[in-house]
Amino acid sequence: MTQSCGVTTFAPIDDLERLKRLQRVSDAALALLSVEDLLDELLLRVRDILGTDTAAVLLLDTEKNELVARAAKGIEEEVERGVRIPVGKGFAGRIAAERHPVALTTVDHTTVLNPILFQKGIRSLLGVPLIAHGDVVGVLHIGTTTPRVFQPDEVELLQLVADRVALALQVRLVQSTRVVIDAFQRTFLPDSLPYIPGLRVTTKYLPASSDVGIGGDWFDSFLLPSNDLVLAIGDVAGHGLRAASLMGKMRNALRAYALSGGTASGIAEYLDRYHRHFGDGELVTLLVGVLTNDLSTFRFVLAGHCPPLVLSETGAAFPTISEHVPPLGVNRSRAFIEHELQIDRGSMLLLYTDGLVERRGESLDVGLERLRRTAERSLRRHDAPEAIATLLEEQLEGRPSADDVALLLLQRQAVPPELEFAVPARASSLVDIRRAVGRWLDDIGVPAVTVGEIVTAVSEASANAIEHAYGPAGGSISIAGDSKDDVVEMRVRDTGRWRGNSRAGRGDGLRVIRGLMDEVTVESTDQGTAVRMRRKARS
Amino acid sequence: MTSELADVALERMDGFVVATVAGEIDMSNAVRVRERIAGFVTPEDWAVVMDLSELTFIDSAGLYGVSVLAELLEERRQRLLLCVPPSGSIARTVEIVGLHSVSIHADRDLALAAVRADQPTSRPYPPED
Repeated sequence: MTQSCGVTTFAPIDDLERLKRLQRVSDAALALLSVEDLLDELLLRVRDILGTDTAAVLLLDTEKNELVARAAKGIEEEVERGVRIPVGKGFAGRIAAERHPVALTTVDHTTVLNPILFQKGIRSLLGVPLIAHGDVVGVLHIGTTTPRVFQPDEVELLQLVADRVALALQVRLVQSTRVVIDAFQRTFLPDSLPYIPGLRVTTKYLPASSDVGIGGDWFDSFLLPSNDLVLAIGDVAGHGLRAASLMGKMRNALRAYALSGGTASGIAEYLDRYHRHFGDGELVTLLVGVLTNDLSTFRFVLAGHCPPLVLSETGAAFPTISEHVPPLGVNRSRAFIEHELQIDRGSMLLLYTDGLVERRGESLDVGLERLRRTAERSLRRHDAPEAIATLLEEQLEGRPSADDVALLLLQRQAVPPELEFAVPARASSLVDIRRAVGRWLDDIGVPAVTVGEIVTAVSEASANAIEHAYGPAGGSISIAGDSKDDVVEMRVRDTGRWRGNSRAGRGDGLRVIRGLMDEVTVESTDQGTAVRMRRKARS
Repeated sequence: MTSELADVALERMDGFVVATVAGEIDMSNAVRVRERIAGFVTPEDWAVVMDLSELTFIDSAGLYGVSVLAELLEERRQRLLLCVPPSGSIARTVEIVGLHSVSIHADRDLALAAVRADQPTSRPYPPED
């Protein structure tokens, strides 16, 4: 294109003028504006400083790799019509792909993809990439309805403005995305884990250090009506909100299938079917397992996920996985294989996502072996939260992980010679009390017939405490037990005031306790009531 | 939170109801279990057999529910029969609490035999055997 007559060139910008102009786009007041207001204000100032007719910002939609018009002055239609330009195509697409300024002195269908530009009579265009932390995040362009050749120092100035815009945008996007991500995580990662006496479940989620890192890692842990415990951990391919929302769907579907089936292979089978029907072909790795209500057996299924790590007296080991099943979303030739692990008392089970073991340029086996050794060292020495912190520190060697990391540590507690725990004083706690007391009596070798009777007595005493000791505000009751010379002693304590019978026919509780146990004392003080019951383990 | 501690299966035989309760009954669900059974019984039924052989736990609140059900039925001249396996902590608890106006049988067959043996002859619509 030759320069025709009437082409305007502006006088070179001197340093002082450059500084003044730059000042106008890095004004501290702008920091308070929202993304939309900030873009509007900056475009007005840019148009004014460089004396152009139009100014527009397109931002990159990383999911689709397209530029989307987000703000425009003089060509507002661009935003109104939601113009999208694929990276690499047209004027803006070229700038984003090549990552350097592009000037046009011919604006028609051969040079630009967006017809609005030439329909509006734009004759010259100058565009620069918006680059933040090395990544293209969008394009800023200006245009004139009279032909104009942009001078090198104008290009430079526009690039400086673009850099300010990109940084300001980045900060705001990170902030606003963080807010959404935080909300997502609060919704999708369980905020409270089920209370199961004899078992401790500790979880940790570590977001990826890079970019606006929400990964697709998730985990879940919940009880079924049978009191079997479902544990699940998975990784949805990709990052960002899209991955997070898929993760939410998978989590909810898994919960539903768990409730209607209850076996690991059944859950995986249906979840895979669900994902292949409703999903978008994303790969989802999954470990889902069910821990039986006696806490002894963990049956699990792996779908493209790292194997769980078992830590027992003899050390840390991965179960032998003979056949590997691909992630969900892949057409499989065979059914999911259910593996079984015995969880002995005092053992631990670690479920995790690949962010914990994977390192670039290293085989997965090397990472797994490093985890095994690290876990053996760090997990045995500490209590759960501290152990996890140590494990993460040693495994990631203090450097931030490029991927997010989720982990779930399950510890089956060694049998305490004495039992002691507290539960909220409500009727639904009774079943937990019976499970915990029953398991403990089993563990210390009390015969099954006697277990049933002692459990009944403790449940009665607890029901009394729940019903009589507290008003609607509730409180807690503590259960303790020990055994000496074949005599089991159980204690049920509350800290409430005895409120008298609230319902007829409930005087039977104490009668049942006295009938089932050999020796019963009830002590009631201002501090609460303690029921002490003794029973010979073998009669 | 677990949803249902006890599973109540209700079926109507010729002139009476068999309620099989599996799981556990305590103060958290005693009223619900009682109401489920009571709600199923119609004036045409003359007896209810409550089969507790698949029950793993019941406490005094649960048994109080059973005796309330028995009284309710008695007012309508309907009978309550219970099957409780003779050994185990449930039998012990039932024995301690002592249920009146409820006949207790060792298993389901014995309870069903007892219902049929006692079946009133003067019913408005006798079943066709």
